Amino acid sequence: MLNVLRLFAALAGIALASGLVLGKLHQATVEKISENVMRYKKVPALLSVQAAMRGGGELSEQERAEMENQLLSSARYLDVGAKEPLCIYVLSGAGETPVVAIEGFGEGYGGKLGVMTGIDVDSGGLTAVGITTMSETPGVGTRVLEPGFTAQFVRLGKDAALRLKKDGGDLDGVSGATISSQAVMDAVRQAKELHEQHKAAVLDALSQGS
Amino acid sequence: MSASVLVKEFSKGLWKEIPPFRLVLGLCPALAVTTSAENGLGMGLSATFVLVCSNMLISMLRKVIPSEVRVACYIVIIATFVVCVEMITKAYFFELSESLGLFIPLIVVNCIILGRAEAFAKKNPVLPSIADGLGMGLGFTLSLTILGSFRELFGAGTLGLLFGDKVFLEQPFGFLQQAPGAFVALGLMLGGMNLLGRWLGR
Repeated sequence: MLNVLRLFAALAGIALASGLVLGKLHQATVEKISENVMRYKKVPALLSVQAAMRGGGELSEQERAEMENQLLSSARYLDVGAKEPLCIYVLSGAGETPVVAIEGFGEGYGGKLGVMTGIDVDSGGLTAVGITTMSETPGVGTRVLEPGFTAQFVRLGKDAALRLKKDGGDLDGVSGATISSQAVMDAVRQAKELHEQHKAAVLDALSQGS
Repeated sequence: MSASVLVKEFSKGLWKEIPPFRLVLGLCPALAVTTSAENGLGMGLSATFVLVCSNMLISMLRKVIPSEVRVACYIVIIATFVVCVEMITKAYFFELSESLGLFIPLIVVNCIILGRAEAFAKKNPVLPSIADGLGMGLGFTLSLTILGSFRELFGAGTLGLLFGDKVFLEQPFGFLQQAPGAFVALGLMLGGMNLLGRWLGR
């Protein structure tokens, strides 16, 4: 009995110390990490959404940096009663039709796959999409990044069926990567649904705008 | 504790028992992440950090940890350091953490680290354990970097770690970048090392 207690105490002591250290380190790094995710994942996706909308050529280094900062400050956090606030990014300038970007998630072959989805607030249709996070098989699932696939979402109407053609939808998947293609569509659908559900809150945020 | 003992413990990891070639442990990350020299170096340094820290702590606690639950204790200690590395790379070397991906968390089950804890740190004082961890870790780093350089140079035609965007081969052997190519590259290096070892007469 005493021996069992000794084993228990040793293991519990080590686990406790480890928990304390990791908790502290988490507190120290959590902000930096979310900033990195923002800068290296979400902003490039937002940039590609914007580029697909605008068409046009490459941005210069300076224009890009400017755009990045603008996008970073375009985030609005809406309290929609869920556990976490809904994060939207306001993409359009004054006078244009308002466009917001919402990140949706789908279940891919290698885990969660995130897609930043640009949505035309007035019509509810899509403007463009950009992939934020994924862990798909390199060279197979990652081909959903190719413009041949993502370009299909550019200015896709509100009522387009977000399914593969073989399932009666309107979109071509990437051959050999059906699950990844479907995950992208699921993510886009989720973003669209979030927008529809919380349209009032989105409009509210836009009217308060900066 | 004489310095020569420390030097001996340190240097055995660099040639005589260099992982993964001599120990043939830790092959999974060695094959998976070495698509470029930079990834190999990053992976090696991450594993070295974990190895040195875990060796040190396990050696310090070797009289406290009951032998019945020692493996569980080792894993908790190793896992703690691995999560530290994961958070730190995510916070300060984000691009590296993206390219290493799942293999950082998988350092927990890297056989070299548990192997050194079990074979060395649990029965040796702190300083030799640190020397052992450092030697093994640097040997692992060296192997991974060389393997990564080889695969990057011939598989992708570049060597980003040293030469930036400079392209050496216009038409590289893409095969070396894939998983089977990793085995071939590893086999070639092992063969080369055995040949060298024979020449040096050991």
